[in-house]
Amino acid sequence: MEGLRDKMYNYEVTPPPQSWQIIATSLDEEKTGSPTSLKKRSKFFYLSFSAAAAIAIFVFGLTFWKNNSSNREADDKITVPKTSSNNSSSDKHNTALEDADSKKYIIITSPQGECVKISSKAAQLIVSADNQNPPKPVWSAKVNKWKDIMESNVFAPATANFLDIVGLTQTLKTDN
Amino acid sequence: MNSKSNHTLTDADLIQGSVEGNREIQEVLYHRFSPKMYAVCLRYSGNAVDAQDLLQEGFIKVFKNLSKFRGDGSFEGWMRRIFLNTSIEHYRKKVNMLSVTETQEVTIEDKEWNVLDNLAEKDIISMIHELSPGYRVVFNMHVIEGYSHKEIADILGINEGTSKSQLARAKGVLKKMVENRLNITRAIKEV
Repeated sequence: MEGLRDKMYNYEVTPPPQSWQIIATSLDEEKTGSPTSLKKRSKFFYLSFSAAAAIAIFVFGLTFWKNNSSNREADDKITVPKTSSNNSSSDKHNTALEDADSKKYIIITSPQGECVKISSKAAQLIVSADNQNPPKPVWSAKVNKWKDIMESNVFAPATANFLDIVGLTQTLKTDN
Repeated sequence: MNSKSNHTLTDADLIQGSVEGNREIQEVLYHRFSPKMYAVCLRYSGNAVDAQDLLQEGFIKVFKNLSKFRGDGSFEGWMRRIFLNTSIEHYRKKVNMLSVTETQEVTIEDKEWNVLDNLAEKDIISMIHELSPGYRVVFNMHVIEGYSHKEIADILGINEGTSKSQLARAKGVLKKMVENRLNITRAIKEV
């Protein structure tokens, strides 16, 4: 057994000649920022970039999907015409003004029952036109005053119309 | 650098030059020690291709860590340990050591050892190659390198009993191979 040990311990085999070249190349690469390490680094950057891109796409997609779904929810809310307690003139336009500020569009129901999609910016105009809910006493008084004036004034001559001027002259003569 | 000057360079010169990064000196160091180290790699690996990989890996480690060599023991011994560790590390993952509590001691008789002793190193290497990785590592460490079972167990992270059983099995396989050779030799003589 000792003989075997000594024999194998001191046994020598010449390695293939290309082995030193491979070792020398590896040592050179280690010394001068090897292509292998560069490859490893570029692989690392590639993986990092891919991961960042994947995260960005995921976040963008999630945001886009959220926005779209909220818009779709808003669009899907077709307003059922309101049944007003008093049948005033404002009943002809039932409006979907709830959350008007948070939506791009609102849908109103026309007097003929057609659903019309309009910009939410017009919501305030519709609210202003509705004098009942909420009541607008000052505005209402003004409108009523103008209404009275127009109703009492049977003839409103226009200066550009010759017949109106003639009519106005006759009216003044009659008054005198 | 001619071959004459290569022979006059001492190990200390080779170490100094290699630490300084002199490629020619490194090559001289490689050519001086690579035959022995390649033999170590061949014993631990299953084939020549793996042995070449181990040789390259081992020499790169040697050149990288050469500055850490203190000169306490022989330089060849230090290098051999690096190659041994490289080989063991390489096969540690591959080797599946079966823990056997009951060790069947296989005794190789003197005549069988004599047959092994009389075989050419190349033939012994080829027989060792036929052993499974686990048997091969333990056989090499115990029989050739002279490690105790406790040391082998510590290095490989296995039980002492497992080391013993692996060696016993390795011996059993080798014994069969030797017996086959003896039978063939006898048959040839009879003819």
